[in-house]
Amino acid sequence: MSGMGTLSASLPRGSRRGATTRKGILSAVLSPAGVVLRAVLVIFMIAPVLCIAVLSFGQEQTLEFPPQSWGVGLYTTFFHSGYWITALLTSLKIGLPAALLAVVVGTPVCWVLSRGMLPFKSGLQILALSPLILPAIAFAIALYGMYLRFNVLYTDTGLILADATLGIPFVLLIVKAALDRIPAELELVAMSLGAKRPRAVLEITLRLLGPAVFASFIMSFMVSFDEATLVQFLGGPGQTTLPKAIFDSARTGFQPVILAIATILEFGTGILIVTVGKLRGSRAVRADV
Amino acid sequence: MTVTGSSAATEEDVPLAPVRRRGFAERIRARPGRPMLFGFGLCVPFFAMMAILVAYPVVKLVLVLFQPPGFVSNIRAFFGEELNVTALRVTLVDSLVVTFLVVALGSVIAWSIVTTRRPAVRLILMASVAAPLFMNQIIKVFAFTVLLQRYGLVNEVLIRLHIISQPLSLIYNQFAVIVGMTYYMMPWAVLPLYVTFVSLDFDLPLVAASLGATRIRALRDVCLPLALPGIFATIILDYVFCLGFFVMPLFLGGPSSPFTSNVIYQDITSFYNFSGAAISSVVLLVAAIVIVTAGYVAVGRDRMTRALA
Repeated sequence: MSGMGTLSASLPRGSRRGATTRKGILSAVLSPAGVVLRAVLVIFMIAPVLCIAVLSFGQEQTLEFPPQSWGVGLYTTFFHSGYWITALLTSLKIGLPAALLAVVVGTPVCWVLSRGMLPFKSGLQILALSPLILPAIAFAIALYGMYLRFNVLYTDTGLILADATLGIPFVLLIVKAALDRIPAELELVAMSLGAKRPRAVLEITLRLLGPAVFASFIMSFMVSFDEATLVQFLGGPGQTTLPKAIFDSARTGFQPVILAIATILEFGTGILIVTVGKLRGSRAVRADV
Repeated sequence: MTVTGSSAATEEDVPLAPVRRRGFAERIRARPGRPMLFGFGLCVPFFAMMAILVAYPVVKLVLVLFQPPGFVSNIRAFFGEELNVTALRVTLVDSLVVTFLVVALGSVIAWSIVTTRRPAVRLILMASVAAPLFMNQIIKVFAFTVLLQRYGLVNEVLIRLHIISQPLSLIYNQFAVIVGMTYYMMPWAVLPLYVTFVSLDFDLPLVAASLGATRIRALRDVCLPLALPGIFATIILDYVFCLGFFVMPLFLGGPSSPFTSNVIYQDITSFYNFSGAAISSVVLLVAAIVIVTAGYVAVGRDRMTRALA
């Protein structure tokens, strides 16, 4: 419960202004506390990111803050290292196909859920969202057992398939929401103007759906890129993705070059997140009823 | 059946056919036309993928429970091991603590994002909430190691401010795990809570105020009950997420308080004890399913999916 001043000040702009209320004693105490709390929270959220970024420009061999010497040595180490660049490429090698597979498999499902007439739609939706609630470790062990039996353990394909499964819920959420907002009548309009049905679908609806599909592709890629649990169990030496490489090196001792990698990743992820946000439009601001 | 307006005449009486929901049996009996088959066809790759990659492995995993010497004795053996019980307890309790923290703090932030009048404040809050998403799990571990270690940033600041004289032991224990997990889960709490709060009708507290309520009372008795289903759905979602954490408890936690996922990892890598790992996984899975089902029943499907979006 927060807000400053009158009740109208704690309500968003759209509601009627000017109504004042009695301020209880509790709110007089809570208001400054609320400001402090939020300031502390913001600091808490941003501190780790800044910490890593600052440390990456140091030259220390230990995780001490603040670093005594500065420089971009860690970055040059990263760009000249075979090991880490290979890990980054492996992450891309796994993540891009996984995201593609998630999008290709998930988009038709969104279409069916949004426009179709199948009887078990709610069940279908639950099924599609189920990887989200599956504890990662349980999924990893389940796949481990099956992969072992079918000799797919420690292969690229196995990991790609697993990551794609993780990405499907995100495709479902993003693309279905977008598809729900594209009126189905647009295709009819196109057909009334002479287009055949496939052309209407392709050039009107799918084109409008494009940004959402791309956003979900990026989102699935980010999920796969960030994935550290599955790859630990299902990936072998040939599937050393970046998280796995960092994980492995963390067990043998700290390597400062990781800080440079982390900062680069932070930057890259930031760009991706902003892109996803822009592609989805200002949907986060509108009430989705 | 026709609808007539009030006695003030309408131009014509609009005939309405009786409307009723088509029953389940009716829908099945209806001839599946080409559209329905086409729709089903579109979903075939998805069904194949889910069947092969999710349903089959999970079923196989559950079947491990039933292997000799038998279901009951397997369960009994699992709960007989003190490590398993400790890990399970730590997992369930710590996840609960993290969920509570993250929903409480997250709702403060989400409420501020929804109600603040200054766009700068909103931007700062949203950017800070998005911050954890920028970092890989393991990088978060490093960041918190830097911050919480013996001569790390937090201890340094506290010592310089003369709040403490000796560095606190903040890492390699449950405290660090909880802090790290809270950090990780913040965006996953703020986003659904934001969606919940944004869809509240903000005229209602004003109505309450016009009837004499104080600000706190208006918010508590009017807004809170309306937001409660969304908050509850967020709690369910976040708790289930927390159960599956692996990397953070491994690096930030101490040996005396492992998560179930760490015990599983140890089982597989050190002891090659797949059946033990499988049983632990199934226990986690059952816990997740039970909680989500309870949530569905209590809150409703729409709320949950809306919370996720």
